[in-house]
Amino acid sequence: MLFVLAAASLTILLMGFVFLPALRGRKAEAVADEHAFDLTVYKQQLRELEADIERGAIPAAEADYARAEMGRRLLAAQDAVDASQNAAGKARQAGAPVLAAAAVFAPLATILVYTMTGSPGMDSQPLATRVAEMREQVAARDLQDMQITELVARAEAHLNQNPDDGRGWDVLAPMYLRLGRAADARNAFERSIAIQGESAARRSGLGQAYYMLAGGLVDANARVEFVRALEIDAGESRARFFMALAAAQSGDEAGALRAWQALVGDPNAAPEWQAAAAEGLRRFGAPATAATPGSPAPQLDAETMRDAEEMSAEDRSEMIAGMVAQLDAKLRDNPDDLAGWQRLIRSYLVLGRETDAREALERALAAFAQDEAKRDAVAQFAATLGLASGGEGQ
Amino acid sequence: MIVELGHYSLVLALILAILQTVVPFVGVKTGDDRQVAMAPNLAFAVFAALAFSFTVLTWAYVTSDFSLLNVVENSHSQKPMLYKITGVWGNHEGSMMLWVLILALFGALVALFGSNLPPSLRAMVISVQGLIATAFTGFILFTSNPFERLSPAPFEGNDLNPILQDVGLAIHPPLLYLGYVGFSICFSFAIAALIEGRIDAAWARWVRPWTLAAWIFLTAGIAMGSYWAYYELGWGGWWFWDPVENASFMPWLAGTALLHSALVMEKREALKVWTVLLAILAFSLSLLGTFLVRSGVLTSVHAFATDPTRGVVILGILVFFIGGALILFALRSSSLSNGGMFHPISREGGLVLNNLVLTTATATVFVGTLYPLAVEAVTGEKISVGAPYFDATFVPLMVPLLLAVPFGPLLAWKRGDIYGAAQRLYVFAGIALVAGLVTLWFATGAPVLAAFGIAIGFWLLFGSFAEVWQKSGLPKAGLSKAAARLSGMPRSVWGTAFAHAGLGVAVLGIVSVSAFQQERVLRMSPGDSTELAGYVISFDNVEAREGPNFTEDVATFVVYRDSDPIATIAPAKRLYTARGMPTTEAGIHTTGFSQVYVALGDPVEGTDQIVVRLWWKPQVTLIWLGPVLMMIGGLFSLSDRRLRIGAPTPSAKRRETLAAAE
Repeated sequence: MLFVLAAASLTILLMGFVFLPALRGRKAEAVADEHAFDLTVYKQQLRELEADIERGAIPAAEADYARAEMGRRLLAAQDAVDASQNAAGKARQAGAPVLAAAAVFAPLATILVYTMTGSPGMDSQPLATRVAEMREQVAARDLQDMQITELVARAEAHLNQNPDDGRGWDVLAPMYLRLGRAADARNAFERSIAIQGESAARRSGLGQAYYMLAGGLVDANARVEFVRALEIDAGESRARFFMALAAAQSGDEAGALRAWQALVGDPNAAPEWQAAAAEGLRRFGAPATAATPGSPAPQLDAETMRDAEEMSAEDRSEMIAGMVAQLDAKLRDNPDDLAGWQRLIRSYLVLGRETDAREALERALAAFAQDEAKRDAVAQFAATLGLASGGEGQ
Repeated sequence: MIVELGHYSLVLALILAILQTVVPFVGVKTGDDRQVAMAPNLAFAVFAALAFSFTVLTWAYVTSDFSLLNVVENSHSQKPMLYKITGVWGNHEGSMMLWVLILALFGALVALFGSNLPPSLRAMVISVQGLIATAFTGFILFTSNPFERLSPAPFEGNDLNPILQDVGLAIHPPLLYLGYVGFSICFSFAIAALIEGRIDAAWARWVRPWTLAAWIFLTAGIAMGSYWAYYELGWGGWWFWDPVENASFMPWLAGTALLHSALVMEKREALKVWTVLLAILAFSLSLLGTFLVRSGVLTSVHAFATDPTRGVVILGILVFFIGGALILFALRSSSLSNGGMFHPISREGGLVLNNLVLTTATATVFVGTLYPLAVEAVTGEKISVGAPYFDATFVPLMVPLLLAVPFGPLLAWKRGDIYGAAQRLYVFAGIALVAGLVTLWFATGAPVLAAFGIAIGFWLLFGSFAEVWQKSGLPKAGLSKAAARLSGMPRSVWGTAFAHAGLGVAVLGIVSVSAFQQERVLRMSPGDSTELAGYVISFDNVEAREGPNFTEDVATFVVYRDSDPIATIAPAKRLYTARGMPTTEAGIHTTGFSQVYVALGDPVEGTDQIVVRLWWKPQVTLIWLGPVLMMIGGLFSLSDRRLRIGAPTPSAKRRETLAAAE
């Protein structure tokens, strides 16, 4: 709305300015005759010639020639002025339709071309603002997580009293997954299986916990659980998703794409994992029809799409977390890497782990204690991301 | 929102440019004063819309808005602020934005300073200018839109080509474009004059300051670009006869001819055909340069053939404007009346010679630039027409002109006295001869051609002031009288003298470097030293440093003269991390007009040795000081109040008729 308003004012402002001389009466526009301009030039040239002659810059013979030539031009121009002045006085206002057409054409054409080429309504995204927004979002998620944390705390208290309440563990385990507490999730699933026996959902949940413990890798432990889950229920969505991911991670992208394609097309599959599979398909960049030639790409309803966004965001941040952890470890071994530290600090900020970011900054500053240039570079970099270094004063 | 508003403003500029083309033209043709009167405001409005759009794009670069594809491709959040701003025009889309912005700026300047022009001529000029702006703004919007958005936006960009991360980028392209595009005004004046059928002395007088301004900027742009290539590329060369350089040199040659030709037309109404044709040519060659550089045809004819959209559109624009202008010229040139007559030996005759040589030289460069492209397109074979071709064609062509330059200003209009001029010049010829002989004497075994070149340089340098000297009346007149005469002299006389002397200075630099430079390429370890042109240069150490967006190895060299250290030179090799691209930063020490130039090559595997290239460049800075003098000359001429003519006031009679018409 604001954009439309701004664009409209810009258009009106400039168009108004352009049409101003036409709207104003012709009285103010009294202009000398066209040929009078020539006359001015030639008179001036003649004056310059006289000045040159006076200074002795031009020999007399040459001066006479030049004077005669300029005189002829001057006379011709004067004749033209007289002729046109005798003819002057005709009203010359033929162009009203042209002006009207121009006034209508301009705004319409601008809007037409802009809608063809522009992205109306798309906001500017300066980097600093984006980093700030990202941190706000993370803060909002933290709040949600806090509510879950409270639930978790209550459930934990309950299970402390009644450790053999299998259904209690079933409720708690997915909450741990959600909070990213992979080790606790693993324990919870294991307790649940021990008390109530295995089910496809518990096995695949346990698999996901292993997957998270491995920093976003479907390792051997995780794979065992998923395989078991599929033995119990071949249609279990989470296990199918992760087995495909495992295939992708071991290089069998075609297989992964086929499996995800099948999951997306399966009407009995859980929507959240269908969405995750759709995200996987998108991420690995294959056109949706590649795996199942001839069949159209699966159509996802709005709700599934929304789930996909959520799911994929979580999924993605898990993967990123794994990569960031690797980078962090690498920098512990080899701290003399300015670009690495910058990437790490930014990654932590983007993930909303401000404490970690701050800690990484302190470590970087310590690593560059001997190298002032690099230390300044890191400090300045952190400052541009809105992260002040607390290390200097402490 | 602001980004989209900038995009919207660009579209608005396109539509307003269409109005700028149509409304004044129809106004002049139908005799509607209101439409004619809208022309200046249209020119201002187009400029305002483009300026806003350009500012928004710059803002997007400054704030690292990676939702713009163009910013992602050419910027980086850690790039220093200066390069964030200059990066705006360090790429195809942005440089086209700068191009049209300057085009619109010139349109607005004509509107602003054009009150001394007959309104219909001014309206026509603005209309033609609008047509060019329409073509290029449309080109930007539909094939090279810098406001293309990206969603989701990445968190980091690809950085700017490291070679461009230099202050040179802040100065060179804007200057060059001010020159290139400045000739669009001369072009528009020529087209307007051909349409209106009025090509006379007054027209030449109106067009001359614009030509002069564009020429000054182009001179500055080319000289700046040459120096930039000299210190940034690390090859020690200052001119490579590279197609991109030739693309800017051709309009300069044509523009120089135009400048002189318009002078004749203003004074004598002669050389009309020449002047109009040169005005068309100068801008046509600017367009050709834009096509060569922007279409990608230079990298490879085949690369151009695989993605020809942009190239074909520019080619279309090129054909339309050049072809249209030449057809119009062919239709109208027969109606151009002959102006004043003149004898072959006269000021006019000299300037015709100047036109002939400069246009032939332009043609030579044109062939040397386009022939390889034609060969590649036809046979697929890539050939290179380098310095040998130009040395064999361009240089001999220019020599007679250089010899003739000092005569020009001494010849009278209409019928000159060559013997009289020669008499007044023999002192300067003597100075030049002595300079040549001294060169031979000092640089024993110096090539005769080099001595000849030096002599030409001095001949130009001193001969250019012959007119000033003669007019001062020295030595007979006495100092105080001479001073009075000199200060009373029109500034354009000084302008001519400085510009021609600048040419001489540049020739001195070029000949000196070409004939007497010394080069050494050797492997050096820290602690080594070597001898070059009487200096001892020792290699102290190499140190790794960290820049804002690059890492570099900086070497320290100390220059000794008679075992006294006189300077430290720090050449470097940089690695720009975002693109993983290395650049060479030459180390330069200037003493007098000469320079010691050090560039680092690659380290030798398995040793602490580095390949080092050392040059002794005698009088090299004269190559760029010459153009500076030329620009000063140009500024002198431009500031001559004779180029400023007031607007006529409406006559009393006309006012009455107007009042009666109300």
